[in-house]
Amino acid sequence: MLTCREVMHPTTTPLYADEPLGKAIDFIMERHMGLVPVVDRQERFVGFLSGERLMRALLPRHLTMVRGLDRMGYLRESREELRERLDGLTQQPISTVMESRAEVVHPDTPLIEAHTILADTQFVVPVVDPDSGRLLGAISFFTILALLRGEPCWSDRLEQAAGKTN
Amino acid sequence: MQATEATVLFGLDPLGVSAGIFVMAYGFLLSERIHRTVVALLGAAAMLLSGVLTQDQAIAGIDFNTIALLAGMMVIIAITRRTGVFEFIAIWAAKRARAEPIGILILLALVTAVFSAFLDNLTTVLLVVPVALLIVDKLKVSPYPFLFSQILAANIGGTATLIGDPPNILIGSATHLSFNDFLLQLGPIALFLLGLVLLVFYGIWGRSLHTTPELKERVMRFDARGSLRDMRLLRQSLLVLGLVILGFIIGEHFAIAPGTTAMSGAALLLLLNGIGEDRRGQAEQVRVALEEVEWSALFFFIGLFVIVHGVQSTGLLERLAAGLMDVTGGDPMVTAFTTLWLSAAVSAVIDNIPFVATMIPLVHSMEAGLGGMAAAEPVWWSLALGACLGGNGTLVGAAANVMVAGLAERAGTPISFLRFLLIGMPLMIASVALANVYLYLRHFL
Repeated sequence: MLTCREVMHPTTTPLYADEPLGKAIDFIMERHMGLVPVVDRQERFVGFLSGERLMRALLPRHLTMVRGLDRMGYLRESREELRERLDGLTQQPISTVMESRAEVVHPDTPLIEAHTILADTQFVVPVVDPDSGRLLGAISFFTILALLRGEPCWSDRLEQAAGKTN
Repeated sequence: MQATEATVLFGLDPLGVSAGIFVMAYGFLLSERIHRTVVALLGAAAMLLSGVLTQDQAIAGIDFNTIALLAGMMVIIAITRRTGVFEFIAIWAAKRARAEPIGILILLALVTAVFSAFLDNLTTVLLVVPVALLIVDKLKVSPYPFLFSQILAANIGGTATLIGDPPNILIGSATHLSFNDFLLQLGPIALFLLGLVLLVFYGIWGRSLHTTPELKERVMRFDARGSLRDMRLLRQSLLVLGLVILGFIIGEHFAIAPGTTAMSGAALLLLLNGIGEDRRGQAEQVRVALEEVEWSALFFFIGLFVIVHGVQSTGLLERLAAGLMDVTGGDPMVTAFTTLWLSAAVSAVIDNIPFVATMIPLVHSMEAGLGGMAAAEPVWWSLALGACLGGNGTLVGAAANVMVAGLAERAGTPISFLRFLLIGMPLMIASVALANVYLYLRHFL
């Protein structure tokens, strides 16, 4: 039986939930990453920061707090107004913007559980230690396809590429 | 075979059993530890299981006109709000005020008052308050005068019509009083009180709400038409909304109850909405529209009706009514004014829906003693005015208040109970006193 341990890609993250969002935005812009796991100070997985969450946070919160996003068509905002809102966001802790309702799996969980989550709701499924809740790795459609095709996973290839250039 | 006459368990006194269930249900509603719908349904179940009511009697006690009116309006509003027309009006009003803060405060309060006269108050504040907070944020002025004026305007606006507020819906449904009676009796005083409240707000905040031309420009740049979508649906919704309001006004001449009008309107709008859609598209539209119906509110009403019918059927409410008649001496004026102030005081601290649902059979029992239906009419208006206006007294006085407080908290500007009390309570007492004068002038002079 294929378990999550065999498929997962070991993952660490530099983002702590209590850190300011500005740091996360720096990291995302630098790495061009659309989805980053967030941990607490005990290295336990607590959520994801995604491009969608950031874009939602950058909308006027008075409108996002109650309804769908389809009735803001009357807004005509300038770059300064967006910029002011971004400045207001950067001091907030990451935890206020991240998605904290992500589903997680354990290393010994059968792969099918992670597979169905990927097919259904999430782009990435974090693999956490069943006792401590620490983030161990992550499974995505890419790690599964890479395993089946016998290819190294995307981040391995990134590291290899980085190694070549160095 | 179903029992036609209820027999109470263990041969207990039905009056005592029903009173016990009633008091317990009220206790749980007050404590807010268990969701109000669950309390109402459990209380109703207890009335049946204990044998106070049979199932047939319980069903007869449910006011399906109220349920149909609420459900029908919920469907119509759910579809209409998708068109963005309510945002359009709010943005249009803000721009009409040239983005001047006090002007926006007054115009948005008027918008909320008119909306809540014809829609339910919760929907109204859910539509207008976020837009108000957004504008306040753009203008960098204090949100509190806007939040307070929205609460007061929603409750005063809701007072004006039969469909404006649940107490009025309940009273209108249980009596001979028509949509026009409500509009003509309560409309003028509601309009007067709204003007007065806005004058007070102007006096307090008229000079202190400052902003800059640059910030005003941010609001003036809004394009109200940008919020409108689906013009076909917009035309259909406005047509049906217009027909339904017309139906409320002329319905009494054709013996068409408001519940029928609202449900017919909902059915018509669902039909129009589905034109040109295939079967799956239609099914999807119906599903989405019905999902917006607040089933928990409807089941709360159903449970409440059964509980009140239970205490009514055992004669408990008649005894209470007789007691009240002793206090007021059967004088219509004393009874009306007592009802007004009692309703206001009670509604300021607890949900006015169970209170009014209980008062209705009580007032019915007093009608004969007061000298008939016509003589008792001011008592109904007192109940409506007290229950609706009383909601302005505290932050928990009405559902709209709680909703606005919740929105304010989510927006990062929470309203403190005391802060609202200091403005809401004096204005509530003043408006009930003025309503008292109004009732005196119209009915007892």
